[in-house]
Amino acid sequence: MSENNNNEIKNLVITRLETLPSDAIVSLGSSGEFTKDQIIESVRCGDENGKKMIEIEMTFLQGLKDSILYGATSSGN
Amino acid sequence: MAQHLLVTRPEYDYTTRYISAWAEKYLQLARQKGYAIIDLKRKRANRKEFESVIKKIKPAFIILNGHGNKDEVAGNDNETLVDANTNTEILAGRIIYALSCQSAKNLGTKVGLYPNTTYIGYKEDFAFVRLEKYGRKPTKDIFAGFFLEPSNAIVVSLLKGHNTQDSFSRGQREFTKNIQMLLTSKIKSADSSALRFLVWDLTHLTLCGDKNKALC
Repeated sequence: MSENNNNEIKNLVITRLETLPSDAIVSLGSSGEFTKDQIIESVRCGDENGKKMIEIEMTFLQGLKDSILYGATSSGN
Repeated sequence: MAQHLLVTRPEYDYTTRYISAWAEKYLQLARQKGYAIIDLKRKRANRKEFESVIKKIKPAFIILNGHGNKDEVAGNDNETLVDANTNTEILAGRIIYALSCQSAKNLGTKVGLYPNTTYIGYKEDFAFVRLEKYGRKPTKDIFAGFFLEPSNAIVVSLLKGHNTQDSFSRGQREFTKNIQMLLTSKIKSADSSALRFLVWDLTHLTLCGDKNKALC
């Protein structure tokens, strides 16, 4: 992925995260808990939590494409 | 004779305190339905007591609340309760629901191979969003409820006697219902910011093993 694409994705994720309530705390399980500002900063600097957030956003966009949001779900293993 | 339900509820950080508080909702139903509940809360959520209770009581249903990774689920202060390499056999023959990160990946897959056993959990981190102002009143946090109500719906369905596949599907439907509700134009953009995390949890919710097992 080019650096331009990377930056575009980061900006997209940050823009979405900015819509979180100001007192939101994001729990990413064993990775820990993060305030809105902390998780945005993680995306900006590209650390492991930031990469996880990008993965979450990509899954969401894929879900839109796959119509998962409209009730198409799997049946497990 | 009453069926036994074992639940682990460590409470040593905000995440574990939240999922423990929300567990009260289904524990009330379990009491009403006559289940005998073994509640390993806080310090009781340790490996020694966990293994001892399972061997002695042989609970039909085990609910694991706590931090985890692809190989294990933890209890109080992150002490490993069950892991894929040492003590999976204690879960054989039971229904397990794990509200824990990643544990369906290796641990759940291995447990699901035992006969007459079902493991429902998440193959990736269970992500949720809470609001800081509800730190001391987790069950009042509607934002967290977008995530924890669908999780609870799986347990409620199992407690009502529905089989594992139906209960798993019920959880999926509840996640999807919340996602669809947040997609509507009447919802504030702040609330709809929960969407991406809900889709993540729905995507990674997984059933391993017996799809027809039920509590009866």
